[in-house]
Amino acid sequence: MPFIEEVLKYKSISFVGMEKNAGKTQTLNYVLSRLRTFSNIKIALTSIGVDGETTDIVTSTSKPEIEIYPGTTFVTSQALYSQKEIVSAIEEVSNQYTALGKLITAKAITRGKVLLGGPSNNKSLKEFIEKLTQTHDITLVDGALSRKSFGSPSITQAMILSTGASLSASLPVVVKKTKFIYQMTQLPQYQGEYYEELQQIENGIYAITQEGIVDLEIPSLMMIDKYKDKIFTYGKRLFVAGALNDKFVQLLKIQKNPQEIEIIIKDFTKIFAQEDNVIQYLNKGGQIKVLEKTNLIAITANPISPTGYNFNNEEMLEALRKEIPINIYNIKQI
Amino acid sequence: MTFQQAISQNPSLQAIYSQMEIQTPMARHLLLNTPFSTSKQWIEQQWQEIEKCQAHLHTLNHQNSQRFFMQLSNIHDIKGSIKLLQQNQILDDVSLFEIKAFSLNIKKLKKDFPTELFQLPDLQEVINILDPEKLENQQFYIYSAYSEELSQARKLWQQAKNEENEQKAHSLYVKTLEIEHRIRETLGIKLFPYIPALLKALDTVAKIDLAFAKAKLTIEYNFKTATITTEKKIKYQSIFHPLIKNYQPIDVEIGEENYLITGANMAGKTMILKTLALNQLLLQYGFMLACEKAELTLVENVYTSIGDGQNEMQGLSSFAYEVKNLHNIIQEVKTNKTFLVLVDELARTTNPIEGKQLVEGFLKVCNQKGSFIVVTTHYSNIEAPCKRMRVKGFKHQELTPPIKIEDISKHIDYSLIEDKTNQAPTEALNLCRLLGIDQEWIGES
Repeated sequence: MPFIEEVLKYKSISFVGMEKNAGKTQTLNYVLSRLRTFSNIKIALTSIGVDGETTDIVTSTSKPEIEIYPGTTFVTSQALYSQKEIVSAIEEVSNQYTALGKLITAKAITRGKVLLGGPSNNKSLKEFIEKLTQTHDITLVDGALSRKSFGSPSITQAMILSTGASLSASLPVVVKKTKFIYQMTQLPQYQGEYYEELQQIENGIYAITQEGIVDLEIPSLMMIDKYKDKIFTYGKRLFVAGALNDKFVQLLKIQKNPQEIEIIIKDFTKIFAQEDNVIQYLNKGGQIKVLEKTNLIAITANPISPTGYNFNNEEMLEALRKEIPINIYNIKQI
Repeated sequence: MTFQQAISQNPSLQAIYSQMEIQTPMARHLLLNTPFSTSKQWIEQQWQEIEKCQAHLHTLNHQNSQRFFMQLSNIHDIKGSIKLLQQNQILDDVSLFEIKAFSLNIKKLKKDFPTELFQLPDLQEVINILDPEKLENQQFYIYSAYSEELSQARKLWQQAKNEENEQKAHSLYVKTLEIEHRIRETLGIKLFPYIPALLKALDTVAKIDLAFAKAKLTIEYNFKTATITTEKKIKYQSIFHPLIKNYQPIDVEIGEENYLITGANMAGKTMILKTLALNQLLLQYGFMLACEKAELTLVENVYTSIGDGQNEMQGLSSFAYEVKNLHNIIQEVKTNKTFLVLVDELARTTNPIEGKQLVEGFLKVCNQKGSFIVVTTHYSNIEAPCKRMRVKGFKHQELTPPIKIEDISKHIDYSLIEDKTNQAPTEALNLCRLLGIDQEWIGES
């Protein structure tokens, strides 16, 4: 029974797929079925907003796929609740509206399948997860790793990543992309001054100096070229509240002493720069730190792609394991 | 005029509203749609309710009081679900859950808040209909206990699921949904007779919530009741503006005679008008009042002409806006109904000769028409029938210039005294001196 013991160490875990069909739902179902054997564990389940799959859901072509067991609490939106294939009792109806109606908290009476849709912004998702963890032993969050997603997996204590053939037909590419995400989850946590203040900031670029936080007044990282000269006016410790984009990382990479630069971001999902540029910057001694660090528990890999090509299972696992020092499983085999 | 319209016109009332701790959307709706009342009986009933709530609040310790308000805030507005029920539509589980949760919450509230003042209906029958397992917990689904047929169908479905026969399981699940649908239909028919009780409960919760929000406000600002009289007077002892810190309470007595107030700049003339307007609005929307004691006449409406710089928005010059507004007020006053009319520095933006004429004309045309007229002015020698009042003004003996602007108020006695002369105080230059204004400018170098 791999990684269940690890799972049980945390109060909240998000499940994230690197691509559709990477096996995220299978992984979630696996964990749910395993947790079931611990009969006294109270489980709650919700999801990070709704991302690219919205149209599927709205046109109700998507089917409930997550299988839960009696006693499990789940949160979903009104429209998705009616598409369940389970007998469940409503326990709470929130006043908060999402694009898909009010949020429903319900408890499974029988075994059956549900469609999840959670709060549509990070703040209320955080509140929901906090509330759920108060009354449940473990809260599982159906997550997303997409720019379009409202929520970030960093709001849970731990994370399980799903990858596989759906990412690319080339195994080396899958390994490279997966390794990159792994490396990003391993970025060190920032523990310096003004931690609380930085958490509150929603956008902009700031220098962290001994005197305090200085707004560099750069409206957008997209226009970073115009402000090249301004960036290091107040020192080399910078906080980027929004996305860390490629132009900015390229600029960091070509600085004279990159090892003196310390970039702080909210969490690893804020990195939207090219993998190669980020790695080159880090290899030159540049630093990136995160405010919120998520523990990556394990990676699941799916050798089968929906478009028809498959990897050899052993080759895939071996290639991934060689590059990534973490538990990696084929979800179909565990 | 509804309360909602009143707060859009009166910033002080708006500020009071924003401080109210209203828990439910029903109470908010009730308050915003409250009409400006001219019924003594209604207002006194509101005061009684506030007093009862105040008394109840005093019996609760901090924890219980928090629990009570939490209970109120848990009561959701189920008007939407009731409407579906009225239209004979089939309710979904979310609506049925909301009706059940609402009824359970009403039951709890009824237990915790026993009073003859607010009659909450008994919704036990509604709870029974939605609780076949008799657990009285905040949960709802189409229970298997509703029908043997459903119970059997669900068993077959689960069996197929356990056999991992997905297709069979799916079609058996669809069958359970059909039975659930029929049960929801029956539940709608059973709940139908309780629509009036549910509506009554919603309405009563709104009243309780609003009365408690008013009671909290009353405690916070030390509001008082008043005597409502038909003797044509507005008489306050120690009236104050609840939102102004360190406001010096003053006495005011306005009768059928026009009331003309003079006073130096910064002597609080405008604030007196705002305080009078606010209190009259509070009174007639069923709140208690910011004063020690009062004898008050109910009016048909409160009209003000207080320049707050809002007129620039209308594209009219401030003078044009002012006279147009006063013209409309005069038309109302001429109907001989009772209004409270509060006019700040009438015609202040024009030359003193014509300005004075406009003030006198206004006082004459409004004289003895049955309204309460209060006008402030800087002009001297106003020849018109009126009772002349003056803000007492600077406590000269304490003054040594220069004084900071923010400290000025400490040196002013804001009480109103009757003025036997018809000279407006000439304190403007005095005030400039105190503020240390350029001496060359004020001609003293």
